[in-house]
This record gives sequence, structure tokens and C-alpha cells, in this order.
Amino acid sequence: MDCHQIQELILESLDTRPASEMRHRIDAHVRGCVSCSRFAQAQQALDDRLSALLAPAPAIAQTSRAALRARIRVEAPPVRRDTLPEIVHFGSFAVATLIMILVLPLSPSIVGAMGVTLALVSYVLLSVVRDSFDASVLGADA
Amino acid sequence: MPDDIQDLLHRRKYDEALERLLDGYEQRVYRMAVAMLRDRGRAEDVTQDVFLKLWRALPSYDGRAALSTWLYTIARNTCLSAVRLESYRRTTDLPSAEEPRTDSIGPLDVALKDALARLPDTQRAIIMMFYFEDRSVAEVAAMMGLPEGTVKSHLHRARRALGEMLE
Repeated sequence: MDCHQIQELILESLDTRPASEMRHRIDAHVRGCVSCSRFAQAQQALDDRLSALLAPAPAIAQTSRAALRARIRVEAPPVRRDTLPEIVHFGSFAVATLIMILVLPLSPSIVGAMGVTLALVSYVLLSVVRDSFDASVLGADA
Repeated sequence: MPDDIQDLLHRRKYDEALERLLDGYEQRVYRMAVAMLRDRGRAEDVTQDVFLKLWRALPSYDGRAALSTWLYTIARNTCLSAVRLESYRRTTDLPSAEEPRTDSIGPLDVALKDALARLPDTQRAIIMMFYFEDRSVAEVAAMMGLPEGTVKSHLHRARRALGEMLE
């Protein structure tokens, strides 16, 4: 291995805990090469200085979360676009039921009851299908 | 934890999901913002911006990407916007422009801080995050949305450049 490859190994050894074989290869080269020996010492010293300069890692102030909550409180609640299908579903059933009351020669209370029953049953069935679909999508991505 | 959060999202409990996400990622997002902005005060504001955007977007999370990937993408983009705004303020010399507080990154080591400031933005951010994140290349790669090999390559170039600057 030439000096450039050894110096890459030296840098690699600072990124991750080096395997013993890598360590052995670096040590064997560095013992007989002044420039790589200097490079290794300089990089180790730089690593120590960076560790000292950047440690401990900065931590966010505890007050920050309270400030975030305050910002959230003044925001309008997020648009729950998931409720749109429910609104469309029950709205369309209400319109259809009204039309049936006007058109069919049956008692309005019977037609109304049928409309409500159909709306609820179809909503339950749709919810079951949608939940099982969502569960399969989320499960596949987890 | 991601499973818990996905369950909360599925049940549309967005505020509780946000709390869990804050517990898990607030400090990491803050450290990323410090590394990219080099100013703890602005990093704190940007961290709040990130989680505010996240809270607004939670109802539209579709589960296609991992939550952490999604969050780090929002964080990265918000930090980059803040960096761009800062450089725009500096070039147009607006009154509110402030120099980054380089004294806010740690104890005094003037030569090393100067050398760090002269690195390209990506190299500087990556080398700072590497030490902030307990020397984890994998964590830095996840936060920056880069392959681990690319992160190592940036680290090596940054170390060589710093070594030459400090000779």
C-alpha cells in the first residue's frame, strides 16, 4: 500500500473503531514512514482538538418546548382533510334520502329510516375496508 | 417508538404524536441546526420552526417514508432556507443581519474555529455533526440524507483541509 492509501486508512480509523487488521497495517507502515507518521500524529491531535471543541454537544433550552407549544396554540388547528370523505358520504346520503322522500309513494318516516340505516351500514363497511388498507400500507412501510 | 407514533397518527392524535417526536428528535434537530447555522439562538428558533411545520404536516403523513427520514428532510430544508436567508441578509446588508456567533460552539480554540469557518458549508456541518452525534457516521448520514460513504468522504476531505490549515 502506498502512502496515500495508508493516510486514507488513518482517516478511516478516526471515523470508526478500526479492525485489528487495519490497525496492524497502519502501524506497520507508519513505523517505517516519517511523513505518514507525522500525518497520523497531526490527525490524531486534530481529532482530539475537535472532540474538545465540539463537546459536550449543544442541548436545546428546556424553555424552547414551551415556546413551541405557545406558537402552536396561536395557530389555527390543522386542516383535517381526512374528514372530507365522511362529509361527502353523509351529505350525499342526506340528499338522496330527501329526493326519495319526494319521489317514492311511501311514508317519509319509513324512507328516512331506510336512508339513515343505509348510510350507517355503508359507512361501517367503508371504514372497515379503509382501515384494513391503511394498516397494510403502514405495515409495509414500517 | 416509530410504531407508537404511527399508531397515534393512525388514530389522529397529532398533538401526542408531536410530543413523542419532540422527545425522540428535538435535540438531534437542534444539533443539526447548530452545525448548519453556527448560532445557538437562531438554531433554537429554527428547531421550533421545524416542529411547527411538522405539526402542520402530520395529518398528511402517508407512511410512505420513515418518520425520521421525513422529519430530517423538513429539518434540512428549513436549515438551508435559514442559511440562504442569512447570506441574503449579509449581501443586502439589512439592519437585522448579524454575524454568526462563532463563540457559541464551544470552548476557546481560536485557530481551530477559524479553520472550521473556512471549510465549505457541507464539510463543516458534517464534521460538527459527527462530533455532536457521538462520532456516528450512520446517524450523520441519516440526518443529512446522504450515503455513509459520501459522509466519510466529506469527513476525510474536511480533516485533510483542517490539517493543512493548522500546519
